[in-house]
Amino acid sequence: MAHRMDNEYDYLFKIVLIGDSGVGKSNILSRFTRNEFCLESKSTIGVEFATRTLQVEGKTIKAQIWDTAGQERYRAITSAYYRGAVGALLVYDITKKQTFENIQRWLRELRDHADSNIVIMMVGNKSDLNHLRSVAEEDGQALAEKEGLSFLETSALEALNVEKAFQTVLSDIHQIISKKALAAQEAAGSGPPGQGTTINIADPSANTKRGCCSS
Amino acid sequence: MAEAAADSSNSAVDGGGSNVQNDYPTIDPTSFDVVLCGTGLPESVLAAACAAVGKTVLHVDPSPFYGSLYSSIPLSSLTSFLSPEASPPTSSAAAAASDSRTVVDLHRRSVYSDVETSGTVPEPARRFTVDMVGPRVLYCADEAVDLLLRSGGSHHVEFKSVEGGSLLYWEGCLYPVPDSRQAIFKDTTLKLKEKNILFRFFKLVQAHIAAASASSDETGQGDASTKIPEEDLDLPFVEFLKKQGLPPKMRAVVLYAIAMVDYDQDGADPCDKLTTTREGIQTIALYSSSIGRFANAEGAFIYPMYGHAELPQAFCRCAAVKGALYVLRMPVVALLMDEEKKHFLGARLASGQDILCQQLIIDASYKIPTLDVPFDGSDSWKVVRGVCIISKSVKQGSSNVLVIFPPKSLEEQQVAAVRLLQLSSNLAVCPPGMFISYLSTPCTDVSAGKQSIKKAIDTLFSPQASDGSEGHFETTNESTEDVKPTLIWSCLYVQEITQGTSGSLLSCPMPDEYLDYRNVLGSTKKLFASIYPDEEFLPKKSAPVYADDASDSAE
Repeated sequence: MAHRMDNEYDYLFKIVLIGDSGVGKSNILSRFTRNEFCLESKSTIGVEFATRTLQVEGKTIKAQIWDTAGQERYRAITSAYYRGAVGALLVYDITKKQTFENIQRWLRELRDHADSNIVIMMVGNKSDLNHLRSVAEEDGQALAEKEGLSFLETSALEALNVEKAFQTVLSDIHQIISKKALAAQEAAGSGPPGQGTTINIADPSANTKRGCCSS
Repeated sequence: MAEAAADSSNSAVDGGGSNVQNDYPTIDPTSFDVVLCGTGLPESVLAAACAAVGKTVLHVDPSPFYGSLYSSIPLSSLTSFLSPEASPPTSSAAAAASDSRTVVDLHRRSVYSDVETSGTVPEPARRFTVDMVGPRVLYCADEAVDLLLRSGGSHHVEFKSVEGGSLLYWEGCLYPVPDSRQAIFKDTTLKLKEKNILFRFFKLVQAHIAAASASSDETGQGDASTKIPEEDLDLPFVEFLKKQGLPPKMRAVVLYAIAMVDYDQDGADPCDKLTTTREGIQTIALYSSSIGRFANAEGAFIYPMYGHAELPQAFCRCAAVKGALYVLRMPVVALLMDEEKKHFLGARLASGQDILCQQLIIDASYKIPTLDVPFDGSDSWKVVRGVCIISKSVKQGSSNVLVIFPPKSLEEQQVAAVRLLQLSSNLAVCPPGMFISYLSTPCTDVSAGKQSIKKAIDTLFSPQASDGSEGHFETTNESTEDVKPTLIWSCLYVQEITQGTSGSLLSCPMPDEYLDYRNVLGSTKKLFASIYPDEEFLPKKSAPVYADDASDSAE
């Protein structure tokens, strides 16, 4: 059995969850990071972010997955929430048509605030409630294709496709990062915010973080 | 019930698309311990502090973005932010005195005036972010940093150094500010005699600081002989510096560039503007403890990447994690009082919805209705702020630099220091190859304040039309003469300053004239103590413990 010390990873990827209130973002997060599901549907409180380390194409990836803290309920997500995110899960509830119709608005917000290279997956959650379905899977697939996004239906309750959703996003991010690394070697100059050392006041000692990929 | 109402007049700043939202949401629940309106730094810190001690919090803002008077604005929206349109008509204001309530309208006002712009906004304007609080930094050892750490807000903000340090404008030249013993040692512009005097002074101050902190640790007899005597501590700092034999230029370094004094300490009349030795040493202590606090930070100052509005966002996120409800695009339009206007009951939102609460906290852009607060008719303090876009760094090879113009260094009528903070693209506030410079000076006389700012701008920057053959500027730490940066665009404006009030309605402090947030945060703490005198302000361990790694070790 391989033993890994904390913070021993090749890449840290920040992933954000967005979508309407009540679509199951927090349960997707807790299912992926702690393999837990909570039936109570309270608005998200107390969750900052959660992490999980996994292997993607031979690399050790630490996924840092951020939840909205309920700020999406009245459209008050901070622009800082999106900073540095390399991936996003755009979540709707297949039993509530309105949450699917709002995907367009969330996508616009994402494109306004996040890095243009962010990997986005559209997620239709609560597929276990097929008898209450109001959004056809084909409709989700069609919108995702139109917008150039990946798409999966998930059930956080039944743990269906949750692992696959994150694995797909992380793999896509890793491929982009690898290409970027090649391109970065060719073009000697780095991007604007890269110049000068970034200071993280929470880590006075370990400010030399290894391989943190944030845009 | 929510009803259709006019959208906020800030819709021009809304980056979220062109369709105007006419539907306000209905807020559920309808009763809170605290309602805050405005998401400036004081309101956001208060929201985090109230949520951290278990209070129920509703936090709203009329704008579609966070920050209020502490915002970071895209350059293209700056003029509309400084001169907002008349506030939209209050919805359902006529519905007064329903079920034994009295409705008292709340109105907003602009705190900015005398806006002057010149030059052409460079493209793309969207790539520039302007801070309404500038020039402003955090000391590395600042309480703002500690609040970020205690609340967990540090997860949401990253900083860069003001790595170019500080420069002092003196007799027509820019000199590096020797702010530590190592800096004195390395400085090539100081004479040996000046070095010795300054070195001895810093040694004296360091010994006093060490002895004072030893005394406050109650370890018994601190070395009393190294402490500065009480009678010296109560002296005007300038007198103490003279006693120590510091010549005028060195006094200017200590007073204006390290102790960050605003007002002329050699002027005869304004006694209330004299800084005491005790106050001066307090800032020097903060300054010196900031150098080296973070291994990756150069110098004493750090600046939030993407601008100062990241700070209120960080605190708001902390409050949300503790359960606070957040609503943007939602003004508060009225207060709810009981029939006799003796007791405060709650607030009415622009949607027409009434929210009950025990305490309402508003940002300083709201006028305070004359209920139980007598109108203070005295002259308000003001700060003149300038924003410039320039073509290259004022200090060759440096990204972010602070420049201090002591009082009277620009012209005889300059009664207060002018500060300039230059920022570069490494903060993601402007495109590469350009710099944003912020200037400010406090004043009661607006035209004199503006004159000082303009003089500072003319001193450091060339106008666009310059052919480059004139306007050489000597930086004495280099043998070659540098050409002045070209001024591409500038904006000057005046902002009034109020400190915040207590009572049934709390109003938060505005961004002040200082370089850091100590005064703003001090007022904010007092406001918190006035609402919840028995609660601790952002207790340590307020930060959420996040679920860390369930490592995937299947192999």
